[in-house]
Amino acid sequence: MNCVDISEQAPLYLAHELSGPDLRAFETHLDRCRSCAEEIELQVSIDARLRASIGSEIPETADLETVVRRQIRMVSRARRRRFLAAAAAVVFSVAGSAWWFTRTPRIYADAARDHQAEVVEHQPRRWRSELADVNALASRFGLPASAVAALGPAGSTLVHAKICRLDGLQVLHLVYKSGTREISLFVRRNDAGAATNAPVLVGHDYVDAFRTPRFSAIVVAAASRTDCLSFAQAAAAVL
Amino acid sequence: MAIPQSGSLLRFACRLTNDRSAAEDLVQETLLQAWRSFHQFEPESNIRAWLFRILVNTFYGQGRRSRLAPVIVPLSAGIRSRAVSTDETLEVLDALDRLPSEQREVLLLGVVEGFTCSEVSKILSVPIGTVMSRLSRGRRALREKLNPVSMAI
Repeated sequence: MNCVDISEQAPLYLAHELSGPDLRAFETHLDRCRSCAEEIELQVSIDARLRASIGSEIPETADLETVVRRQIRMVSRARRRRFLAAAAAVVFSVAGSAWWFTRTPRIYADAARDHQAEVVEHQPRRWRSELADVNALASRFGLPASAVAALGPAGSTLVHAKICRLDGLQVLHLVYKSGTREISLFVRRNDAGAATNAPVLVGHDYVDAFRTPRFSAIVVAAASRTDCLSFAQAAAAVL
Repeated sequence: MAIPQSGSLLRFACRLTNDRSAAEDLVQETLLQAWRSFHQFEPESNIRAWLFRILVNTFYGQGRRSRLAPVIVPLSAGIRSRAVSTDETLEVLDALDRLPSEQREVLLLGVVEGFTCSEVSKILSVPIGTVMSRLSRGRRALREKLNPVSMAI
């Protein structure tokens, strides 16, 4: 190795990346060449000053980490929901031809998300709370006022309603309250004949899709599987 | 539990951006990105280098600086106040900040953070020869800017 080689290889030497014959050749040259040895010593001392000045500074990261953890939790909730919806797709891939049943994964995920955001977390939305307004909305979906009143589970009352989209399809979102429990019912006109799916857990809620000769509907409730199914069956009987 | 490496990522990001709050944003984005793409991490590779690489890519991805025209940003008061305020520290920081940013980057990664030249090469996506020549030029330039009297520690 000559002095030019030493100058070129110095970064590798200082990063302890030289080994074997390369390292021996480098150190042999330093032993024999005073100016190269001094140059390397200067570089070592520059590195030491840099490390001592900046490397000793460890900034406080507690706030930053809190934000990151919160964001990760939010993302992972959404991911979990997508995963469960995808799992539901496998279960329902053999189901009937109506849109509820063939487009299950997105619709289930959307229904569960809308229920979570709009009903559980009360994110601001334009709800119709007056019975007359709700009935007017319902009539646009061919749903008679008598059905609106009777659709909720036994002992529940109608809270409010709005039009929303599940997987791009317009549906009527009705919210009923039974005690402290709020149940979402998504309804849309249908002409594909009757069927009922088994309830599926999506996130914290059971989601159940069913259809009658005239309507397709989805129930979302933070209830047991059996309760969710009985809500769905009761609503199906009305529709 | 502390998130591993967040301190040294933030330290590097502060020097890279010269702006404490931009640095925090950058580290947040880096950690989130790392969490999202953790499945791409190869277990036998160096997770520290992987995190720094994400940080650098995120920084350039945000278009904060052109690779062709490095801008030397003066050290902001916010960072200066957080540094250990000895004369020696301030002198080194000022000298470092007056270097072209490409030299500053390799010195920060290769010397302060202790990455090898080949790791720095992967983090910055530049050939190892380029890393080595930047390190040499950076060390030389830093030496010229630093007060020679205080050289002997």
